[in-house]
Amino acid sequence: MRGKILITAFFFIFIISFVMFPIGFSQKMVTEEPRVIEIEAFQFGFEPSVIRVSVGEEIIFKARSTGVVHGLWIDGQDIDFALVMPQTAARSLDLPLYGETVIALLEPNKWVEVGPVSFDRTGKYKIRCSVGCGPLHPFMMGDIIVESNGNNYSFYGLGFLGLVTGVGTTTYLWRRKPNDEMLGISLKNEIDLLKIRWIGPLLKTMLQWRGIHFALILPNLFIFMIVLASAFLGNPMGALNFSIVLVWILWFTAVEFMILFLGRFWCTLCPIPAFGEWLSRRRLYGVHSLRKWFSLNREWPKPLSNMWIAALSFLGISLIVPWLVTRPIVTGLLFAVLIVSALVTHLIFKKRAFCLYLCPAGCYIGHHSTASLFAIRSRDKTVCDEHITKECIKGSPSGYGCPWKRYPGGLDDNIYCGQCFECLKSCPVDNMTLKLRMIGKDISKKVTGKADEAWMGFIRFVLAPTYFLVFFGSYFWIKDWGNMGTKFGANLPSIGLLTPTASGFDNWLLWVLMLSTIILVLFPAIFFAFSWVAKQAAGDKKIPIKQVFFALNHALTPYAMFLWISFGVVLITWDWLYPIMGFSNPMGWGWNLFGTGGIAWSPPLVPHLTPFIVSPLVFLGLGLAIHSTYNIGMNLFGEHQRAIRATSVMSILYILVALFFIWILMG
Amino acid sequence: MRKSELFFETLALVAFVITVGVLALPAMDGLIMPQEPDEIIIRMYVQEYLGFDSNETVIKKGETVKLVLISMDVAHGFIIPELGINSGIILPGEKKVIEFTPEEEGEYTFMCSVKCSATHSLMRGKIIVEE
Repeated sequence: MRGKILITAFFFIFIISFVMFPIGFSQKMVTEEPRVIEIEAFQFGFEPSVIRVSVGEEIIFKARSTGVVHGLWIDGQDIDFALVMPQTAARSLDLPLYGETVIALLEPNKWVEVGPVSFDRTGKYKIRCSVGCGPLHPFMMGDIIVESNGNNYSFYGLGFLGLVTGVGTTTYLWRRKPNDEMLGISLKNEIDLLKIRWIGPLLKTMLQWRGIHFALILPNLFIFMIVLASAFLGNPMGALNFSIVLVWILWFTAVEFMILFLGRFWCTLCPIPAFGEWLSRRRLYGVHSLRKWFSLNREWPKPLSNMWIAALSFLGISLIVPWLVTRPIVTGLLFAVLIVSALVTHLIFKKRAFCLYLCPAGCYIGHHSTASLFAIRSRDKTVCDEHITKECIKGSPSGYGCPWKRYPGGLDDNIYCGQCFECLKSCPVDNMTLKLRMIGKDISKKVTGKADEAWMGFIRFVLAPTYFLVFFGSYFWIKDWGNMGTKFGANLPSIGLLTPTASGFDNWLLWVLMLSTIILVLFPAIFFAFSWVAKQAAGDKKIPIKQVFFALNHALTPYAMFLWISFGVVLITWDWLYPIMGFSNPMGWGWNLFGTGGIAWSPPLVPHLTPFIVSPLVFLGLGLAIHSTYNIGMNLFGEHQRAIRATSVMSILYILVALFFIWILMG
Repeated sequence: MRKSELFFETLALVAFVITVGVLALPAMDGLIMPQEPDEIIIRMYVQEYLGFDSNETVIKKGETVKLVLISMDVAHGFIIPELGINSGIILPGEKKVIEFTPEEEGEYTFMCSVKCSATHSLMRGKIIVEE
């Protein structure tokens, strides 16, 4: 009963704050003369990068470019202009312009005047560049922070909601009867997907068909080939290149959602290790009846049987991410490296060694899949344990033994299960199935952890806000650091030839040092401190602090998953048009196959609503992180009161992270 | 290997080969965007990459040609000072067609008229008008 009142109160506050804060406290400022704000656009940012105005204040923006042609787009306003630098040749020649001119600003130092405009709600609005200006053009942004009497009430409102979510979840967990339910849904609840009427048998027939894996990979391989061709030979401008828009906008977002709903389903579809697997199996489709594999079939070395290489290479890739996602050639080279190393690994080592120990994407997808709604599990573990022949490990004529070196019957974690569905085929007693369950079920059973997985968790967790700041922030200097560029147009020389400027390289080294220190040392240290305090608060003296640290780390997984989903949501709503355009113009050479080519600028979808779409996702992650912490605490300390004390300590950290996110979105 | 197995493997192999054949996509440029006899397609990139592509063409005196200008990366412009041709700004992704008839033989330099990169001033090419 008490729980229900709490929930009702919580939702009441939630809805009230959502509606009231942005509007209710806003007081319009009335001025006689419009204020003039000058903006300079350059590669890749605006100066000033943060502009503070008042609600209702009339503003005239005066803008100009200091380099190539830029655009000026202001969210929530009907403004879209091109900013042109004084032209060199045309101005001196004084020639008539041919045909219809879009913009004719030939006077030197001409400023474009926009306005007067005014904003009627507090919050954060973006200024965007609307004319393709270079590799980082899609991420060239500035901020307008609209305040009322010097206060950004939208930010306060959302921040307050974050606080309410965090404290509310902890209080709810504290006050309810100790059980494994969350808002009435038990973690024990599971749906056996293969037993659902109509869909179940159909799904089962499909998954037991030997050709399913090949049939799923093939369309992806088709697209992957276009990606490769485009990456190496297509337009060097990322936003106009199929490889970039498909992989780093569409795929990236799709994978985040796939992790939530389908676990490691991407690993089912992934064409990268397919060449190696087919070659080593000597089959594209069936199970080979020969004893010999086309592979040396060595065992993967024991000291490397962990996530370290994959996790650190993921971090390494993230350190050059502004290059990776804007230069097709870098993306192409990455894929080439991945394909070749997957092939070589398959020819030397047994089974999916590449996917398990080397693949940077595989490791983060796997790590987050622990929090997925979806899992491949055995129906009854005892049946598996008593079944001596173990076809799921050894293989049978209808399916290979688990290529991911697991014992499928005993799976209780998604992290290393690549969802190839071989165990569904090989199981002779029909005991393997697909299950739908609550987020955090696997995590609720954790009592300890491993260092490699913990640091993978830290890397992913800290990178989420980092990516937000780099790609959706207005701080151009961060972009420049990662981009190895400088403020004054030194970004373009690097689009064809991969040669950064010297000063850009210096900045990049600084960024590498800073980012890797925060990710590998600073945040883990903060987390360690919190887990130490949590252990003290729980009054525990037996369990080693290392175990508490590793165990509590699992709670970061659902949080990070939702942070990345929110990143994906922002990415796809802001850059949604580029992939659509990419399909019509895969090489970026001006083709128009399906009539959607020839677009160079993707206006954001509902940009003014972005924080309100994203923040519930952040809050969901926050709630789940606290819930998971409580479950792990129960496993560790065994008692409700002690677990809740540890949880309240950890929830402080999680609430702070949520507030930081709200600040990025709104403040 | 059983017969049915062989059949499916062969089928899969054929599908695989066809799929990999997509790698030939770049070679299809001429099919997808054919250049008509009276057309000259000029793609404009920043000078650090390709500049004007192509940057040299030969045309006949007295015959009308269509210059198809496409900005590929950032905004560019196209001018032939000696012929008085100025395209104005061509925004990225935009295509402009300029029709003109050369009256005199000679070599005409064309250049980019909109600041497009650090080496903008080097972005040029030529049209040779022959008898």
